[in-house]
Amino acid sequence: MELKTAGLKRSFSDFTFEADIHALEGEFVCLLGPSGCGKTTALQLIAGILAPDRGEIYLGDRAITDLPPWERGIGLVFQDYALFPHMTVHENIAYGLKQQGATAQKIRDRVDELLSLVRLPGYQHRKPHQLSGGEKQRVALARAAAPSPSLLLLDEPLSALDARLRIQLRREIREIQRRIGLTTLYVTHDQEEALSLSDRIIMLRNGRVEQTGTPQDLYNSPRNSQVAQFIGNSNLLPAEKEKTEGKFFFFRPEDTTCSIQASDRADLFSVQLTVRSIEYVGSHYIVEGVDNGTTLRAHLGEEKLAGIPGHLPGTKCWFNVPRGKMKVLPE
Amino acid sequence: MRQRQRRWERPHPAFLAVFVLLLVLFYIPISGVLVRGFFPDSRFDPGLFFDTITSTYSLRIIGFTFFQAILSTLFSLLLGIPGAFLLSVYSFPGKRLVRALSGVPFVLPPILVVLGFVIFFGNSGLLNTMLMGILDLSRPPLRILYSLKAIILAHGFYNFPIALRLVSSLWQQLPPSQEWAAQTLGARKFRLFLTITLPQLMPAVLAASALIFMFCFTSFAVILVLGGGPEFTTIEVEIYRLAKTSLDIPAAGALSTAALTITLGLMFLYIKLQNRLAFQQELTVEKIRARTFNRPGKKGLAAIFVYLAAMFLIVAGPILGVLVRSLQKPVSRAGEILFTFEWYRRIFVDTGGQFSRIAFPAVRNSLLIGAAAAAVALVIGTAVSYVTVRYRFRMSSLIDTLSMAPMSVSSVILGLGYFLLLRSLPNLRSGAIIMIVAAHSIIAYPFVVRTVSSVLKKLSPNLLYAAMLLGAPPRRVFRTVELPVLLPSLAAAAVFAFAISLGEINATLLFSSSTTTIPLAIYRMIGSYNFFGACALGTFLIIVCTCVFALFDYAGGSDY
Repeated sequence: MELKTAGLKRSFSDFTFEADIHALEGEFVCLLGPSGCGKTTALQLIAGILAPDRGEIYLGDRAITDLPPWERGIGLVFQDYALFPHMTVHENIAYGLKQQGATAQKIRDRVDELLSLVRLPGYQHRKPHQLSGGEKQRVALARAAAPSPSLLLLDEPLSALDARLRIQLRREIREIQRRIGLTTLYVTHDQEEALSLSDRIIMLRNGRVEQTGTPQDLYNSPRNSQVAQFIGNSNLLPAEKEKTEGKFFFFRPEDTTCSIQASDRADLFSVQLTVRSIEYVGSHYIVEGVDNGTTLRAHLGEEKLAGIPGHLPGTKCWFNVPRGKMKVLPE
Repeated sequence: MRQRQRRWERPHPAFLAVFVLLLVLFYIPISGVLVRGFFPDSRFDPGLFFDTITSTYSLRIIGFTFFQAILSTLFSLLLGIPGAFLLSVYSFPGKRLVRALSGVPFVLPPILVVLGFVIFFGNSGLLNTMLMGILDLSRPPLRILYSLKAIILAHGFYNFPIALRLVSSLWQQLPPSQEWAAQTLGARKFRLFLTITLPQLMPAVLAASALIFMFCFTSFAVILVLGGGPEFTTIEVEIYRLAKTSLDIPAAGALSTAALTITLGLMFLYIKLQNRLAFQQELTVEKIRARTFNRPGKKGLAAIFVYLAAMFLIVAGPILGVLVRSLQKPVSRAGEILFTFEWYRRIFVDTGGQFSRIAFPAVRNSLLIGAAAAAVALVIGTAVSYVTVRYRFRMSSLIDTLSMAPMSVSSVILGLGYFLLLRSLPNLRSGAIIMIVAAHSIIAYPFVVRTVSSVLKKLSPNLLYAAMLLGAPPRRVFRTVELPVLLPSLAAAAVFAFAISLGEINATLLFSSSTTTIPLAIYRMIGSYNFFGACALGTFLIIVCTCVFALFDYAGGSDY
């Protein structure tokens, strides 16, 4: 179902959350932001764990602001899984179905169906302590999805897992979400996760929405330097020198090239810096240049790096970027 | 503005009833004691209070209390720290035995420690009898009982496990990499210990010392029986004597007030130390790396053997002594002894003899009181745990303090409170058993709080939110999720409270005149030199306590 909030606000002693969250029917939306940006607060307000000071929350056409959590019909997957330790996998997944008064046969069928959906068939009688982290997260997902909620919330569900498993599981989550067409709100601080998963990203900072848009929007056209810095790698250059309106020049290291000689091409923007380090990361080299307070990076392939003779730390070097790839951003 | 806290987040009004109960069962009797110290003739007269606590007699008693507590603490450390060293450095076959044996004193009620000491170290005790047999002596070579030596020895027996466990648990967490680093920098064994290991162990040593000191400072049964006279009297014992023997209630009240002030000060110090320990652990336990234990060399083996032997003598000796004596019965004046189950028969079957007349109702009373006190303590303790862990509101910190205060009041003073209450309400005398239940509940509930709140703190609120979001209203969440998760610790707490009630003697001895419990019966039998019967009752107590703690381990062991 469609999720909408209007004028949502909640104050704490040292922090105020004031942002509106919107997710279309069947959409996968990521709430992205650094820790303390209010993404978990947003989730708790929507789930009914926290009460807002003002504002309304709508799920479909219904205002759910004053409903207690158990009447909202929202599924939530916790970061720490929150599986009931005294129940088996079957009993965990069946818990929500039981509250709906489903028959034993129906419950059994639904639990089996969900376990095969999360690729854990035959796990019915295990206890949570017998599961690995990834398996626990799959069970938590199945448990949240079992009562067919109208909205699924995921609170940094993968942050406790190791990198390889995280990538595998996020693909599975996305696939499952597509298959059951569930409106999903996914909270994460990992920009890569947000870029790869979302239909749309809502970026939060200090309790407010910084920018909303598709992953491509946020990556290619960040609204300000904060968004630019948070998503992907970025070069930011104070712009006062050029007497420009905005405050920062912004461009991506992968669009940046290096040369020993200054280029005379008019469509290139160039800065001369001293090379501080050259770092090999497998797919490319990261060349870092500094000049009193400014740091720029260029991601160069093997052949481009070879084009620069005597590329040693300490060398003076021009960092070039096509003017078309460069943007002026406010702070 | 909408209400911030939702209805289901606020504490249930029933919690209030529990605090009223706490007020009636603890604060009224205790304020009675304090008031009696300042209002000797229902008139405010602080003069008597100051006269009492500054008299040479009182000062001597206070001084001795400190003196014996310090000696006992040092002795306990002396027994415990070498064990901690052996446990932390070596791997050896008897290691689990050492751990298990060191748990035994925790389990035993003080009256059993007293009994075990009399039986084992007494002039005609087992140790002396054996030594006389081996060395062919006509007189007992060891004269320990009824002296400072006995007090220190018993306190050491009772408290060295605290030092052993606290120190060894910190020791085993010290990262071995630091020792390797020091060794590569040239530090040798002793220097290594002095400069690297010991400074890091200090928090545990200090915390253990503080705890042991507190226990010895407020120790009662050990001093009352093993001290044997006015020469070795501590504050607690003096309060008992003033109230029960000299009936000088104002003086008892004044001394209680002084004792309370001192123990509160010590408690404050201990909490400070404990915070420091916690801080220290955060620093050192960032990454726990499995410590590798060395296999002991010749010297190590010898040390282990000596320690095990000493521990066996001190810990197992008194207990085995009680077990053996309980199966014996003197048949003639000459000291001929018969092995028999006669004492046990007389405990469980009312045979009408003098022993049976005391023991039979004592067992019945103790079990009854224990069950009732465990139930009440469980209710109070669980409620206090909930309020202190779960809810934050305007007066929380006051409520926290008020509900944990009973922990810092000694059971002798609580007993005095009930004693005064019973005297001022003569028609309550018939209800003495209810009063014992009340006092035991107050003594036991802080232990319930400790057990339950530690689990409650670990219980993630997300577990409850998960259940709510799956459609379960709060009551059902409590029934289907919270209660089942808490159940093992609730069971453990109840069982623990039961054991505490079963072994409690301090308060009970002070105010109970008509109702006898097992520890009271043992105390009286020691007084009338019926050691064999006392041992039978003691063995019964040992068996019940062992079962109870095995159950506690089992219940508490399934930790989520």
